[in-house]
Amino acid sequence: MPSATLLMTQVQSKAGSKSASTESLEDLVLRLQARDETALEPFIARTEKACYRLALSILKDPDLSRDALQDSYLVVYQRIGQLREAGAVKSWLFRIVTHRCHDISRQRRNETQTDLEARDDLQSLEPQRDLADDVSRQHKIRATFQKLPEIDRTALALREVCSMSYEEMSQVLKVPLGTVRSRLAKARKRFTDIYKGVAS
Amino acid sequence: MTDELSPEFLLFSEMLDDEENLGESSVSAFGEDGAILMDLRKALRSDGVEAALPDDFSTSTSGLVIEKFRELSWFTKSLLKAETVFQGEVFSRATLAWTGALTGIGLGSALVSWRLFGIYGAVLLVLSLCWGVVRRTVLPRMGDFQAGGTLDGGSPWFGRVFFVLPVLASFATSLLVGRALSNLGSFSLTFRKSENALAMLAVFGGGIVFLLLVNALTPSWRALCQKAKRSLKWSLAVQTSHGLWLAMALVGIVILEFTLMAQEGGLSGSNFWEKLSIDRLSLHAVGWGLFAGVFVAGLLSRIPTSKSESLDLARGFTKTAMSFLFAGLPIVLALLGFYELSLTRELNDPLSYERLVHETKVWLRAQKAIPPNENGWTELKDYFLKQEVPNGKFLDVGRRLRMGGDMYQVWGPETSDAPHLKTRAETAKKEFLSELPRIESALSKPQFTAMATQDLKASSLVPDFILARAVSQGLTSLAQESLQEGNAAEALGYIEDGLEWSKTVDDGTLISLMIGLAQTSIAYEPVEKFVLEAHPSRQQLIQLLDSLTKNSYQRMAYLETMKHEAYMLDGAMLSLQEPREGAQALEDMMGYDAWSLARLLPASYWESERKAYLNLILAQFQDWRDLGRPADLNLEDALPLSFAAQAVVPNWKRAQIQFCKTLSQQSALQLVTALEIYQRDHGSYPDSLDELVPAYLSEIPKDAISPNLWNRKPIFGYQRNAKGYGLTSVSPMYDDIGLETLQTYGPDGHYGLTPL
Repeated sequence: MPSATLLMTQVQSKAGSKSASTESLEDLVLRLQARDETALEPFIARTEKACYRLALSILKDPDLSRDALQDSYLVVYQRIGQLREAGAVKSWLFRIVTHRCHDISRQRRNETQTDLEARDDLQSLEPQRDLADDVSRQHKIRATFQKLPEIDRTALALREVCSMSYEEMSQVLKVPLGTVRSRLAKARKRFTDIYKGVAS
Repeated sequence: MTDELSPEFLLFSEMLDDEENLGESSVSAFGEDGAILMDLRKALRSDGVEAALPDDFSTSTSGLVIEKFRELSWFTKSLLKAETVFQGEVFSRATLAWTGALTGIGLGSALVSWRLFGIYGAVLLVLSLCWGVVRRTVLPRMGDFQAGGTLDGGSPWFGRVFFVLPVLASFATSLLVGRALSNLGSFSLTFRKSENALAMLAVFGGGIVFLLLVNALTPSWRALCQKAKRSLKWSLAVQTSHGLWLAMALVGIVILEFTLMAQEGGLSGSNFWEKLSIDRLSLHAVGWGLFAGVFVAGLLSRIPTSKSESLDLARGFTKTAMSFLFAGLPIVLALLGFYELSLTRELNDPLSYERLVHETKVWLRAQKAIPPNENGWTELKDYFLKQEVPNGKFLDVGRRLRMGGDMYQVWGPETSDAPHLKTRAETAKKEFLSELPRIESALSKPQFTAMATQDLKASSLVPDFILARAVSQGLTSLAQESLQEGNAAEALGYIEDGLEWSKTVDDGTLISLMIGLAQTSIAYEPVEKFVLEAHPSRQQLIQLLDSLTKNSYQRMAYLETMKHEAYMLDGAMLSLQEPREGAQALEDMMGYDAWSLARLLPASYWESERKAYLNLILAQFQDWRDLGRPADLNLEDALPLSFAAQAVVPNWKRAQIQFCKTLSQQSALQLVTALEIYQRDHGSYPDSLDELVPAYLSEIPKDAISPNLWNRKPIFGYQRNAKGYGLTSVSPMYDDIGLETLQTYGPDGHYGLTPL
């Protein structure tokens, strides 16, 4: 099973071409803990993609996802001192992003019930495929995903988008391993049920 | 929507996540559901791949974050910086809130009562210990707390082996500290009273030190371990230093143990294991079990955690220092609480203590109210010891008076023929008789010596003691001389003077009591000889019996004396806490600056010790009230109180036995005199002592020194025999003051003049 480590490594290698620095993520964390401001930009560069995909999966809104990321990095910079183990930065970061996305999602629900399907930016995310059936099916899948409870969307996003292992999900969600397994399975069951119209 | 989840779907869900082994057949086996979920995966991942952020997102975001961070208040930034330094372990808001709340409760409880504070500290310690065990045993099984990994991805065995020496060194150090604490605890009466208490002090003291060391040093060890892993030199240096630490701790243990063994009289094959054990902990399996429990809890609570944490040396050492501060402080507070809890319970009735202290103060005030010119003792002391005579010889009168006392030795039957001694004795007698009127004048006034005792100036009482005894010796010598010359009337006069003199310095203090007991022993010496050999008249015998009764000691008076003495000692202990008087008094007594050591102890320690000491003394009085043998506890060994006790009280236990012996002796002499009067009246001695009551005695006196075993009445042995009768007193307490356990009075006894 590919883990988030692999994903992060890929992200880092891409970011590495953009940055001249060859520092590891752990070294950057140590520099951030020492309040080295210059470490922040390379840190963001190496982690933004993975975090953005996670946020987008939960929020399905590019603007809100960017806002969530900016807020999350502010929290990271302020609270980096709470991180005891530099090696655990990935799950810690994802946890912050997830929490921030949940906060934003709650705020948005309180403000207005937006028809996500009608939004232009959501439409812009849709793949430009030639086959009408495929487009229709993909569209229906995304719409169904949006109907899932937030807890299910988060679990599926961490697993399918961030390719996290159960152990890493356990750390991010702060739940035992067994709960991760059952939560994922329930989310999938709910998804298929809704998709098939069994549940309303 | 249904939440029901079949085992098959759960299995299918897990198969979906096993992507490496996920084949088309596996997915198709679940039909439409499998296809839907695979489409979901593709859709979500394609969204992610196509998701794009602006190129300058990292630059703009970092700028924005730094700008917002700079806008934070100074206080917030300081808190956040502290979080960084201590990595959230100490200064996280939750920790601060908990620490604040717990400290507040602790301070509040301390304000209410030390006992409550002690209980609070105990509860806190137990809870933290339980949490340490639960965190490492129960919680991991719940699937959480699985963080870990190895040091920089290397062999886990390096780290495991690395920690062996430091942990062993910590353990040895905790043993040493536990042993030292136990030894220090022996300074406290509370702990001295119970070997178990000392053992528990060693167990918990050592255990807490071990926990503290391991908790605080773990960050440093881990930092050193990571450094050592990359460098052979570092590895050798670190392990060598820890090896040295371990060796030093072991050497410390050996030195301490052998020092203590030497103090206890060396080592032999039979007592080796007993003495080698930590305060004989081998006798306390429970204690060892607890120690092992604390040891295991210490290991479980800390060592396995945070193995993958990345630490440099500076951070590791900083965390260690702060851990010592933040972990040590509550532990020290809790220990203080324990201490207060343990000690203050010694005084079961604080109100009684306050009342008795008040009574003693009133008594002292009355004593002090005696003007110096009306204080017979001051007059005597000043005259005999301090008056400067015309020839310039200081203390000359005192010297002459002591010569009078020498008569006692000179007039012995063995030396009476020596002409030069006879001449010397005659001179001494003249000088002694010339001073007697002044003595009698002084004795007609009240005496007061308590101030000397209260001021811890016992050394100034030594000349007084010699002086008082010299006068008794002189009077007894005169009585013996009169008996040798066959002058019964004169002998009786000197005997009565001696009995009266022995009681005149009794001012309610123990030192005066001790002097009085010694004088009484001297005054009693010629009594039997007078009764049995001087052929006194019946009237003279009745006069002697009255004098013996009038000048007798009473048990309750003795109890009052001891109580006064106890509370004066309490006052003396209190004065030791005064920076100036206490420092000087302690230095006078000990010959070195003991105050510097004594002041290391908190005021509450002194208070508790004083109260504990008083309780022990009062408990002894309770024993004494039942005419029992004094407790075996040697009060003089109770440091640091013995600083004062040794100076103020010559020997509490000896005083008590001496008093018992004097009571016994005065009762026996009353019986001997009464028996002699009976014999004059009836021509023979009675068959039983009961026949003396009520015509000659109001009651048969009890033998105060006889052990009160099996609630038997302590009585004298009485038996008619060829010589007339034998009156005996039997007690193991005689042995404590160097006498035969069987003392015989009357015609069957050895009442001749015996040297002191």
